[in-house]
Amino acid sequence: MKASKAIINGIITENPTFRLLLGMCPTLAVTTAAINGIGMGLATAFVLIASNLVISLLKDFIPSQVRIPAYIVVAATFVTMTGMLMEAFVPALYESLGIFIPLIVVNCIILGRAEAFASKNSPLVAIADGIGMGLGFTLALTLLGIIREIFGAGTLFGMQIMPQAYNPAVIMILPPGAFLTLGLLLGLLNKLTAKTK
Amino acid sequence: MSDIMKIGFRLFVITAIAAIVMGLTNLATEEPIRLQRIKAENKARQVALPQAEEFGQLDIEGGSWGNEAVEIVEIYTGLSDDKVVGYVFRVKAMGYVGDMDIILGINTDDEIEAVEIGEHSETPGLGAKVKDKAFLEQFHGKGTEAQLSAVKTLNEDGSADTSGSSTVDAEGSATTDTESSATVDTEAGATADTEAGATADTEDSATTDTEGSATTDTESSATVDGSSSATGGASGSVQEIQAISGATVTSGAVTRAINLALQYYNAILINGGGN
Repeated sequence: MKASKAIINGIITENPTFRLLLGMCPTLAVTTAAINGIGMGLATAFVLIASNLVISLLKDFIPSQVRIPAYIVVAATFVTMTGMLMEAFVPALYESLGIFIPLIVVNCIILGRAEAFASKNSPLVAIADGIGMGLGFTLALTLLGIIREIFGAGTLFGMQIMPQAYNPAVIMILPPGAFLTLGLLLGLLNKLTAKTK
Repeated sequence: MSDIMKIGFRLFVITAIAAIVMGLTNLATEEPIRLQRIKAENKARQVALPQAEEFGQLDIEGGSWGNEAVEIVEIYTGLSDDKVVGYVFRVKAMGYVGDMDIILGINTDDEIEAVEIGEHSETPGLGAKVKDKAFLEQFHGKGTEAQLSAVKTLNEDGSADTSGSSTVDAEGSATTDTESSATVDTEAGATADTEAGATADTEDSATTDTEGSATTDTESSATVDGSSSATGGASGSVQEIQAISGATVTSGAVTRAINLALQYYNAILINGGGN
C-alpha cells in the first residue's frame, strides 16, 4: 500500500470515528468544545504515529506470543511522554482533557492500528497510516466539538458566535448531547455515502 | 524453556527501553511542570488579591477550620513592599458533583477583593458556570462582617437595581408569596418593613397581589435574614448573592466556603496586621 493512499484511507475511507467506530469513549467524552476535540485528536495522532513507527520497526523483534503487551508498553510510553509534555507546555489544555490523556493508552485506535496495520507494513507506510488515522480522528472530534459547542454554549473556540438572545441547549455539552450528535452525524454520513454507491 | 527465556528477554528489552525513555522525558519536563504548577497557584492568588505581589503561607489556627463539607485548606498573607495588603484563602467545598477549590481574597479594608474557582468537577453548562465572571464579580466589595447567602432571583432587573438588598425567590423564603417580586425593590420598600413582624402583613397582602403590581414585597428580607440593609455593613445581616440558575447547590457551596473564610477572618485575622 502506498503512503499517500494510507493517509487518504485514514481520513476518509476508513475514518476511525465515522467508519470504523473506534475510540468512542474519548470521542463522546471530550468533545464538549472544539478546542478539546483538536487537542485530544492531535494528542492521539502523535501517539498513533509514534507507536505505529516503533511497532513497525520492531515487528520482527516482538515475539508474536507477547505482541499485545509489547504494543501496550509502546503506546503507554508515548502516552506518558505526551502527558508530561502537555502538562509542561500546554497546561490549560492538559487540564481540560484531564483523565482522557492517560486513557489514550487504551484507545482502540492505537492497539487496532498496531495489530491490524503497523505490524504488517513497512515503517514509512505505518507512519502514513498513523498520520491518516490521526488526522481522521482529529477532524471527526473537532467536527463533533464544533457542533456541540455552538449549540451547547453558543460559542466557537471560546468566541461568542450565536446572538446573545440564544439560550444555549445545555444538553448538547452534557453526555446525551454527545450521543445525539454522533448518532445524527453517522446517520447523515451513511445517507450521503449510500447514494453515491 | 529457551523459547520462554527468549520471549521474556525481548519483552524485558522493550520495557527497559520504555522505562529509560520515560525517565528522560521526566527529567526534561519535571522542572517546567513544577514551575507551571507554582505559576498556576500564584496566578489564582493574584487574581483573588491583585494588589499583592508576594504571598506568604500562614498556619491555620487550631490546625484545621471547617468540617467535611467545607474546609479551609490554605491561608496566605498578601504582601506588597513587605506590607500586608490582604489575605488569600483557599477553601475546599463539596459542590454538586465533587470537591471544589475556592480562592478568596480579602483586602485590608475588610472587603472581599475577588473570588476565583480553582479545580472543580461541576457539570458543564450548569455548575461549571461558577467560573463565570457574572457570578464571581458579585462578591467584589462585599464586607467581611456579614455572611453571604446565595438566592435565586425572580427578576433580573430588580436584582440589578437593588444593591445588596433583596429580591428573593419563593424557595428561599418558604412562607412568603411567589411571583410578586417581579416588582422592583425600592428603598422605600426596604425601609417599610425592617422587622420580622412585618412578614405577616406582607404575606397576606402579597397573596392578593397580582404580578407586576407596584407594591413591593420585601418579604424575604424579613423572613430569611431579619433585615438586610442596603449597605450590608451591619453585623449579623446577610448579603445576598444571586445563585446560578440551575446550579443552586454549587452556588451554595461557594457561598458557604466564602462564609467560612469570612468567619475565620473575623475571628482571627481582622485585627492582626494590615492596620
